[in-house]
Amino acid sequence: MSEALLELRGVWKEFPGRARSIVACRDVWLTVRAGEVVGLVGESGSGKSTIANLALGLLLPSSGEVLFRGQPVAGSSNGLGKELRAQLQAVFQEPLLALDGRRTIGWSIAEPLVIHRRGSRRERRERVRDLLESVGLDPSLASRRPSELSGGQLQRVNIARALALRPSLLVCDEPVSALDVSVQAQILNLFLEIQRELGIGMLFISHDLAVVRHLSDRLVVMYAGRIVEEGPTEAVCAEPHHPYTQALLKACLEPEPGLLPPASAPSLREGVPSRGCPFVPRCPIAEPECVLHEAGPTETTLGRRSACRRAGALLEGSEEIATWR
Amino acid sequence: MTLLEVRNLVVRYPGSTAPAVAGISFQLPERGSLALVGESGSGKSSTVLAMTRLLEPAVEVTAEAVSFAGEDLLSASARRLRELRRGKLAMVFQDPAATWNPTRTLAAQLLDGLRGDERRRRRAQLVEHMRRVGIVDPDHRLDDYPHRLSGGMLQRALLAGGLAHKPSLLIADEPTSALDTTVQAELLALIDQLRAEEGLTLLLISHDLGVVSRMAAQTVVLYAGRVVERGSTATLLRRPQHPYTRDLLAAIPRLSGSRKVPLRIGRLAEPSRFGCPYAGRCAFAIDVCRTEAPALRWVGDAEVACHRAPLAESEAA
Amino acid sequence: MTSLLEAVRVARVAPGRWSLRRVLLALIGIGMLVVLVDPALLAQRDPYELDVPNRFLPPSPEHPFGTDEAGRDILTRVIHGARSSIGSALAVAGLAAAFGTLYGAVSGWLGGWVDRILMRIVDVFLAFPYLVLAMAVAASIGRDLRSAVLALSVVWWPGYARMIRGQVLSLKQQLYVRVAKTLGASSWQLLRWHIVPHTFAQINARLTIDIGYAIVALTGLSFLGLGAQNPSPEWGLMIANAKTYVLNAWWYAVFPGMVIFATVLYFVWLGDELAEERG
Repeated sequence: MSEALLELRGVWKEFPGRARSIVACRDVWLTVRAGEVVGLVGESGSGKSTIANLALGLLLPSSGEVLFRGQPVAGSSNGLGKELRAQLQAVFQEPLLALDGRRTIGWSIAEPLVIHRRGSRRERRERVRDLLESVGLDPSLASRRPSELSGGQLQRVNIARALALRPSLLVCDEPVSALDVSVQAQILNLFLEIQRELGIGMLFISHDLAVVRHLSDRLVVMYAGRIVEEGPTEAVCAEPHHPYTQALLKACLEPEPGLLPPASAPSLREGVPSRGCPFVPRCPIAEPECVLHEAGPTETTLGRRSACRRAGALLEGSEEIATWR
Repeated sequence: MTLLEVRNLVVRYPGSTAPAVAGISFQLPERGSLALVGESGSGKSSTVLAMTRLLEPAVEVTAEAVSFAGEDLLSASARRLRELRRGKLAMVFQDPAATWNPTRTLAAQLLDGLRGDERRRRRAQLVEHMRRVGIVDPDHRLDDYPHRLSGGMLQRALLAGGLAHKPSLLIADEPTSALDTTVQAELLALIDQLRAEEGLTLLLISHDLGVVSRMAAQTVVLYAGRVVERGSTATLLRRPQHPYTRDLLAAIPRLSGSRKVPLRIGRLAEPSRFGCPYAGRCAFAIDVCRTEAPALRWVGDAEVACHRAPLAESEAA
Repeated sequence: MTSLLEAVRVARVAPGRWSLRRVLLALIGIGMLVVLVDPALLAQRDPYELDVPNRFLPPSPEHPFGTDEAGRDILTRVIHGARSSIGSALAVAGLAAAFGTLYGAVSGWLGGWVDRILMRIVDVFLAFPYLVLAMAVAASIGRDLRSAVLALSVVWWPGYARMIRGQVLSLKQQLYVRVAKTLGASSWQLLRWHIVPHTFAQINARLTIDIGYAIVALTGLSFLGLGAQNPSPEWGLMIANAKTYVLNAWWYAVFPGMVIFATVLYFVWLGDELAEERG
């Protein structure tokens, strides 16, 4: 197995709240290996963006460790040391906000090179040209400002900047969610190309299961700050081992002819109970034990983990699940 | 009977060269459902804003007809429009956070302007409607401020508020785009249920063909402010005739499709100024596409604005 | 996926770039610059030249603003006084803005207990009536124009510190700043590239309005004898001198007063215009 790049070991992250603190991540164990694309899927409030910020060292874990190549990522920008920091780069959701509006595109792409003192002024200009071309943009855009470019072009610029230092891991937090369908397709193709040609490892975070499935080798599903299921992408999508993953798969609406509107769900309850399994209020197969005690992630089959004690029932394809929705 | 008819709608924002909406027409029969589909810049939102007269006066709006239940919306008085918006016309928008005023309770916003007995009566009705749309403990929820409710719940509350006025048309502008996938499915199920129970007509505006495929019987595909394809949703998905519709369908990653292969999408280009607006991106474009704008014509079961239609099944990019 | 709000925003008409008002403001600004660089271009007379026989002459074509108790031409003195009055105001606003910006940026950037301590100090300054504080400082370091400028700067910077701190607090949450952190940028690089330049627009707008206020404050100090000293042609000092003769030589106080009024009004308008430009 190839070398582990990013490791989250038993990470907890709490944010102080008005009444009580909010636990955005609890006991998260996650590994991204060199050259591997790990897809992280979950809905808003599931803690997936917190994971991105922890992985990048923008947040400090309340407990547990976040390691990049064995070194703690830490909170300050210098925690990793410049050499390792250069290898860990990010692409975010809002391409326009991720660029300083006062700076030209060329300046922004050269910024990491300046920070890390790579090359002379001239070499940097050359590199910016190459980077722009490699993400499918006209090099003449270097002199433009972010407000003059479209969303798709801006996201390409962000990707070019993230690639400038030849990183070994890209953390992508909802990188295509703000884009139009056809632009999204192009950016996804670009990610595929980057992955294929540069062999970069990726932590690809999205709320859209179909998007994550398209790119990832391994799929991690989060719910209420926990990892509820993890395994090879194809296997998880074909046969989920957690009722939440199953609900996500069913809620994915694909444009196929002759389909009926989604049937009404029996329960519209929201919220996460303070004890027991967080998915209980929405779970079709919950048993009394689930209300009292939360099950930790356990291996279901080789290379797969699920935090559902009734994963077995899902595997048998019990009738109650089939009739849900 | 036709409930809503839009004929040759043109919307032009001051200072912009090309109109945002360049002659869009569609008809929506009573109890029918129709979706306007397009990406940003397609003019779908402008169409709805123009129809419901929610654009600023500086924006130039013209049309041969915008009639709702036999009434001309473009010439209706401001007062009549307000009546319609709080009556026969229910609307749900994309961003629940922007739709609600954060400083007032739901009740204050939904029962605005009502006093005394009338208010008590309407509040009781509203509680009933909120229960119907799946809001737990509606009487207390009504006295909550918007930030206490999730996005999905706010959309439901808005629907409940609309239902109280016995609407005949529901305009839903990207109603689920800001919601989580599972919540989206629940809200769509609810909208469908309400349609059946109340005999609502649905005008859906969406960029998401997955949503459209389940909610609308008819679909109008928009590109650069023009209708490029119009027909029954099933036909359109089964056999898309316009290259843009095809490209759009191919650009969506599928749960059932093959992974890690490039999605088929041509190069992107700005809409062309002359000829067919899609000519710059189209894999099928020929000389005439660059000089002459195609008109909508019947091809099989759908209306298509393309010189090359019908496209052969196998003809791909 | 244009949302409703976006569509409405697009619909709004862009503001015109060059209105008549802006041209006028720019022309006056150029005129003012000329006076500051070389007042002798506009007023050939010597502002210090005594001409006692011609004292207290009322306004005439020869002396449009009249003459003072020593027979000096008041218009000449007002023009030459612009240098010390406006120049000193520029210095006050500039010093205060420079120090306040640095202070506020450090406070907002570091946050935590450093921020709390730095801001309490600012609160102490803001709790005093600024002119009283300035008088105390000026009186203790010497009675001349330079100490008046210093004293006013000392009481003026906390406003900037406050403003910049607030801006830095919000700027450091911006996504592009977080991205720059992931790129490995140092605090110094972040502040220099992505934080401080974004505060310039607001500083500019405030600075111009403050120049107006600083003129008033400076003339006030001079009027009280804590600023410029005789015989220098400073506007506040001129009014102070004129107060003895206000009943028999009205022009002596009125014209310098009107010039102060017009200048302050100009800078306040200019500030408004800049703030509008910023959107």
